[in-house]
Amino acid sequence: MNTIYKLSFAILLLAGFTSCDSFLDRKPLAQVTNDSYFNSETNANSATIGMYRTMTSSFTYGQTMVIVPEFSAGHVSHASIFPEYENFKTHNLAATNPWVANAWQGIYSTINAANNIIAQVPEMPENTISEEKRAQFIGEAKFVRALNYFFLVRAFGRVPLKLTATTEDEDVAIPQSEPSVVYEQLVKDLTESITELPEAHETAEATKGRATKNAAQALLAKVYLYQASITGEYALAANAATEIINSENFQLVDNFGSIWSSENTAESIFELQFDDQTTNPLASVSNDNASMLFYVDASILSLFEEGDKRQDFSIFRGSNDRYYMGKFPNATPPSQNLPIIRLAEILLIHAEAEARASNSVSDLAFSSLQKVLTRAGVTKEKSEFTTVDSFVKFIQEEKERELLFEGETWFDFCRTELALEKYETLANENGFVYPIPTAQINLRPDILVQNPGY
Amino acid sequence: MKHTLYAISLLFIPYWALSANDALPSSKKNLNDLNLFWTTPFDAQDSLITVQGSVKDEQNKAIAGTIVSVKGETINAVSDEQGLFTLEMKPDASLIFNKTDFTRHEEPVNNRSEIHVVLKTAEADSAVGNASITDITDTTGIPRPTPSSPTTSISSSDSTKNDQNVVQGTVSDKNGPITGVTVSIKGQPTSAATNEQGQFSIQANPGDVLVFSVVGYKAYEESTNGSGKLDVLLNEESKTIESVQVVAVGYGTMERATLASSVSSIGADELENEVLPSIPQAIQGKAGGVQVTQKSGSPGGGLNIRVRGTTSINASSDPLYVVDGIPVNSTTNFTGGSDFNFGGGTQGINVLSSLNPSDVQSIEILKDAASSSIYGARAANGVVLITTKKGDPGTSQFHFNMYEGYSEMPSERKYEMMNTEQYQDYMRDYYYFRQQEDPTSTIPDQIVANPNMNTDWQDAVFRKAGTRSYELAASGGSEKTQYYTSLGYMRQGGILLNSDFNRISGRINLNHQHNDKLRFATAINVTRAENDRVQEENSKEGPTKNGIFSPPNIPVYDAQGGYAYDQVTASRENPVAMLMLPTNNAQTWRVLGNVSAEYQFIPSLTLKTSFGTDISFIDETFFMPPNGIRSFASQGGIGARRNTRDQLWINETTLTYDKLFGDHQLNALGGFSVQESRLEFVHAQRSNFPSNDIEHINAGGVIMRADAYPEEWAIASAFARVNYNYKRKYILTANLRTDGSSRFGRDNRWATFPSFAAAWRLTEEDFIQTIPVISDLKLRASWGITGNQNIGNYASYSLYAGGNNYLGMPGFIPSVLGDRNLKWETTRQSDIGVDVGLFDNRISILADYYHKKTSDLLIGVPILTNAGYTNRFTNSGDIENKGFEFELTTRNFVGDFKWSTSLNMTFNRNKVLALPDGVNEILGGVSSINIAREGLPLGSFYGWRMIGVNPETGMIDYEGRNGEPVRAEDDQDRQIIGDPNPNFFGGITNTFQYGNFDFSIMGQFSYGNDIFNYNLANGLEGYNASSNAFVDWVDRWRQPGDVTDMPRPTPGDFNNGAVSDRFLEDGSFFRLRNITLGYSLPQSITERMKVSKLRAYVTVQNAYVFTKYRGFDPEVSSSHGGANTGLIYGYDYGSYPQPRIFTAGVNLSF
Repeated sequence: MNTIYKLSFAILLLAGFTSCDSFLDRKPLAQVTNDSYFNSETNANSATIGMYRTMTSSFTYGQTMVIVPEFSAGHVSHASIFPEYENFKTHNLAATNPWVANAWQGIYSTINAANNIIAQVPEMPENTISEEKRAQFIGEAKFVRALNYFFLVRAFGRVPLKLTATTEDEDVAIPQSEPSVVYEQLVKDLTESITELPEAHETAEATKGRATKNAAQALLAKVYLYQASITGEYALAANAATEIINSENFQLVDNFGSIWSSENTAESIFELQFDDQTTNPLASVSNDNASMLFYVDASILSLFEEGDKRQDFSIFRGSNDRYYMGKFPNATPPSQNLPIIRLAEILLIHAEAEARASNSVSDLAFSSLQKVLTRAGVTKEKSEFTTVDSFVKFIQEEKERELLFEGETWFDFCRTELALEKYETLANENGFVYPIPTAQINLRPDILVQNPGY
Repeated sequence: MKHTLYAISLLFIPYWALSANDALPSSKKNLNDLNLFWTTPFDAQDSLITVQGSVKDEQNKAIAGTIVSVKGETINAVSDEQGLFTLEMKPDASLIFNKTDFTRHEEPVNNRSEIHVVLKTAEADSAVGNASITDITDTTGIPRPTPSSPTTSISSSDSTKNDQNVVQGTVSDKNGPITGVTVSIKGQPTSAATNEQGQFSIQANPGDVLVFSVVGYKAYEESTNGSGKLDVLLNEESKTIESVQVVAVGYGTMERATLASSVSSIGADELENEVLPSIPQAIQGKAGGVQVTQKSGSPGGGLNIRVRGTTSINASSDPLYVVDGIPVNSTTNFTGGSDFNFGGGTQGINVLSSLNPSDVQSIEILKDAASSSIYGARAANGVVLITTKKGDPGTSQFHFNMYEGYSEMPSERKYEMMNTEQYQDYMRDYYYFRQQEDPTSTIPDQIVANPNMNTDWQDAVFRKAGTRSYELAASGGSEKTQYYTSLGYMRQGGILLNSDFNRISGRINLNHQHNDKLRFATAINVTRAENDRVQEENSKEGPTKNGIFSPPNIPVYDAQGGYAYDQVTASRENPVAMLMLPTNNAQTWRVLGNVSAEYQFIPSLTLKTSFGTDISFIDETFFMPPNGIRSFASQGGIGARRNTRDQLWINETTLTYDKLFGDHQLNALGGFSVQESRLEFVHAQRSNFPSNDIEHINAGGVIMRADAYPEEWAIASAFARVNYNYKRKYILTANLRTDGSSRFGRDNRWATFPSFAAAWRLTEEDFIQTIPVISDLKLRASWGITGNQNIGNYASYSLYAGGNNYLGMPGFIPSVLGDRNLKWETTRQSDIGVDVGLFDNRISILADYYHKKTSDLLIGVPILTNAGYTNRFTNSGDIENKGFEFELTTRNFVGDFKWSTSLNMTFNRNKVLALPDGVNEILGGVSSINIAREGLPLGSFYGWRMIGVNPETGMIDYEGRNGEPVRAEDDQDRQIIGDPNPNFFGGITNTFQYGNFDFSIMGQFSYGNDIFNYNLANGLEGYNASSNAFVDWVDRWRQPGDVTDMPRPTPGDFNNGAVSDRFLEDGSFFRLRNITLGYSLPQSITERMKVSKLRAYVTVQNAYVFTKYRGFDPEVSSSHGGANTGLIYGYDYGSYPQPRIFTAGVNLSF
């Protein structure tokens, strides 16, 4: 009997002592903890890849960041007249609108992915990553951070400028920065990234789909243009655009529609890559099929003058006497790429900035515009533009035609205040920016301030 | 590690206790000791049934004074003048009939409620009868010294048989002869007392009535029969039903009488006569403090169970389920670990529906901390113990049960929609206003087409569906080996087209007594459950949420026989197509196995070790065909297959010490447990299917997903419990459990959960015993701490997650912001309770007041999204639940016509005491309708308050901050508009029996809870361009000056559909949940048929719901998908209605 007692006693003890802690130490099997993630070049690369992936979600460039400004610009309608979309179109926006909150959330998760790379990659030990790749990943992250803050500052005005990777112990409540401060940061990020980024990546797809020197340069031109509304320094935008144009790395393609019907054309400077698995949510609901949610307002047909080659591609007539967006043709499966910056826009930026900087409709400025017009099959004479203002206004309208359904018109019209003229329902300039999402303000009313008018 | 040692040392309690007291010989006489020992570590508790019967002799004459005792128990009765008796006992017990001059007779009860026996005249040696009294404990398999003296004395009494004036005999109770019993002759001063052998001798004439009395026993009278010999068996003083009831308490069982904590018990008798699709439904409306809410009426669908309120915001508030000692996978709403959102939502799988309720012997719900804390870290939401049936030695029985029936949509619960004429009138109005805003818009042709067509979409999507069940069970065994084995098939058709659930289950329970000391047991349950699910709640195109609002002027099918579609609202599917075309099938295979060995060192000390496993395979097939479902057309349909394997193993070892030292009874338990669980998913998905023909993913053209990943968690525990009582009068219980869980931060992994309880049985006090009304009275008090760890497996880690690919390369993104210091959610609970039995226990009451405070809530605190995360899991905040609950059982009539009533009610009050620092409120639910705010009940409704329809504009005015009428635009104007928590809820069951008929009616109720009825929003908001809506629109505002409560249609304007009290309704209800009428064939017939029982019955489930609620069913709990849904309460998002089910069935035993 004694033996049995001893034995059971031993069993009890044994079970108690044998490495309970290792039994209970269950690290995630399919995920990696933050503190141990950045330990190799391949992992750092995967973090960079993942950062781009966040831009494909329906809260970001996958849908919201494109379609919402298009509603604001009055170009599109929702099949079931959902007020949450229609309210953008009527410029009667509540701070509780879900798409405002979704975009805010989606964009900041991309920014956090970028911030993590910017914070952690420089800390990686020398033997784990080559200096070339280290610079590249940091540069890519700065580019992506700039691209997303650029959307935020245009859409919301004053936004929290968070430049640190979020950690467990950090107080994430930071006050909003003035747009001018945000623009300064954008210029800083982009200028640095130009030095860090490579000219090209391993594949043609990656060269378009990941940040390059040219992409950063092109985005910088666009950022300078918007910043110039504050600073008045249009020459910076003109110079940055000129560098891209003169690099001759990009050419306008003859067939306007091929920019979207094929992929990664010579015109494309930065193009978000979708495929069968990374699908484009907007493409799946924007075509003439049973899944359609967004269609085109017939009224915008009048934007184009007769003979403009872009019209038939951009707006096509489908079933139910409805018009549809033509720039998302690859819908089955929805692998439609999204060109975010392309040469035509840079040319138009150059035309405007050059004219404003020189305060004249110079040959240089006009020739850039003309390249875009010629491809569209539209002829204009320089003499038609008697003042810089009329030239600039025409460029705005030309951008609306050229960049239709690319999420640009609304911001451009607000930048130049043309929006007040174009949209009857827009009461005043308070409407240029969207409201800060209510739920965010409710969380920290002491830190966040609502935009005027909401 | 330190903690482990601490807890392990507790295990030594029994060890030391043993060494100190081992020398004491076990009390020879005390059967309670024996009983308690026996029931504590191992055996199942059987709920009691009432058995009535008669005793006759071979001449068919009634025999009065027969002692009828339950084999192995301290329960007995004496037959009256008509030979009738009534007894409470386990359904599988055996009765022993003892009567002087008749042969002892043993009769298995076999679940009968009536037993009629014929006793044979005894042989000359009457000792046989008496010897048998001592036999009754043999079933326990524990040797007990046979009291030999009575036998001897009775034998010797034969010699005095002819002495006319002297009556001799023995007085005994279950345990043997009783000393000091006063024997007197009624009406005469003569009296005598029994000696140490229980013998007496008294002068009496034939016909005199002898009275036997002694403290602690019921007085007993019997006339002398002239033989000069009279043996009497005395009953102990009456006890409540509960006093002999044994309840499972986790790692053992306890007598209800000496239980100091709060436990609700539901026995087999309450389960057997009901038609139950799954186990949680057995609890519904039956236990005080326990609220079981059917999330939806879909067969096999999810349930919501709350024991004494909701304790958490983000961690699950589901109780822990323990089946035969194994804490099982008990997700009642499994939606998988992937984010696969099939067409807007898939309903969960109730994993518990894979157990067959007929195999269940009893269900206990451990409610207070004193009872539940033995399960420590997982017990904060209560523990549900499920014990399955075992075979009885010396019996061999077959049970066959079947029912057939059908379900239907209760027609009175349908919404009243506009007919086509009203609809088209309304739509013309709608487009009138649309043209005001957009002059270019026109009224689509479809809106005004088919004025004579009137499609009732509710009729189109609902159906009558069959339901059936067949079960065969065999049980029995020898003294050494017992078995229970069963095979069951159940099928329940859903009332929405194409929804279905069926289950095949098999079980084998085996117990084997190897020798006096060693015992083995094994239980294996294998189930296959198949669930054909349909799009319903949470699905944007669910027929019950959106489909029923389809225009009435379009047909279900077009002229070519295909499905017809609403062309105006392109996002609306044809609801019939939505039900019929997609495949959403889940097959669950479940293996639940348990082996245990029990070694009894000495009668008071037992070591038990068990190894259990629970493996679920959930295999889901999804297919959304390319043709017919418009929102999937552009992708060419999608198909997916998801395999989930959820497996756990557990090893538990306990040492139990149980001993009586004079008046002191000690029961101590110590043990440890290790459990590991692993969950694996494989998910593959393709799109671009060529046609609807093949639903399997190999036919798809584009691979969209191919995922597989595992998750693991583990828990290690040590625990100890000590029960002590003095004279069964003063009772003390202490528990301690130490748990270590892998789910928490490294430094906060271990926690200790103590609890204490005390009880005082006043009925054991002399001053109470003088009050005849009170037959049982016990006061209880307890305090303890329990924990909750129902969170994600890796919530303490900040994580990078893979699978975020781009450019065909693997991508990782920061996915979770963790808290490395994450620890347990802790609930402190106090409980004061009373058990009362009145009027000979015709009325019995269990009542409790409790107070639960949960702190360090495991909560996903919403953080500013500029962090890149939407929330962060941490410990913060406090929630309080306090309440009063009672269970009242009355036996109103006990004669030929029997009527008993059980009523339970719970009054729970929930309040958020504190939220995380800097967080004033947390919003949840769709459109942020639910709020958590300090001082308010959890999940209070937060929205705009409607003033009324503005007679000038036809728009709804809401109450602004300062009481002024406003539009629903500014968030600051939202206010608290309702509370989803009921004032009280409960259930009432009445059972009647007359002759061979039995009738029961069960009601379930809830009072004072509000429901946010999203369907009202759909039917009353008025901004959809083609939706039909409720008939209320007929009374809408049409022109300035109209005073009405229905506004005008508002194209593209949210105002009238804002989350407001306009869509909030009183969810109080009283449901006639079950009405059953049964008839058992009389024994005279069944005997001829050679069966022991044959009962036929008819049942109506969900017969009627009395409620003011407009929706399909007031008992709703839309969860919006997942299991841990956070702040979503009292929300009807197009729930699957609960069916009315008619069934007829047969119970047969032989």
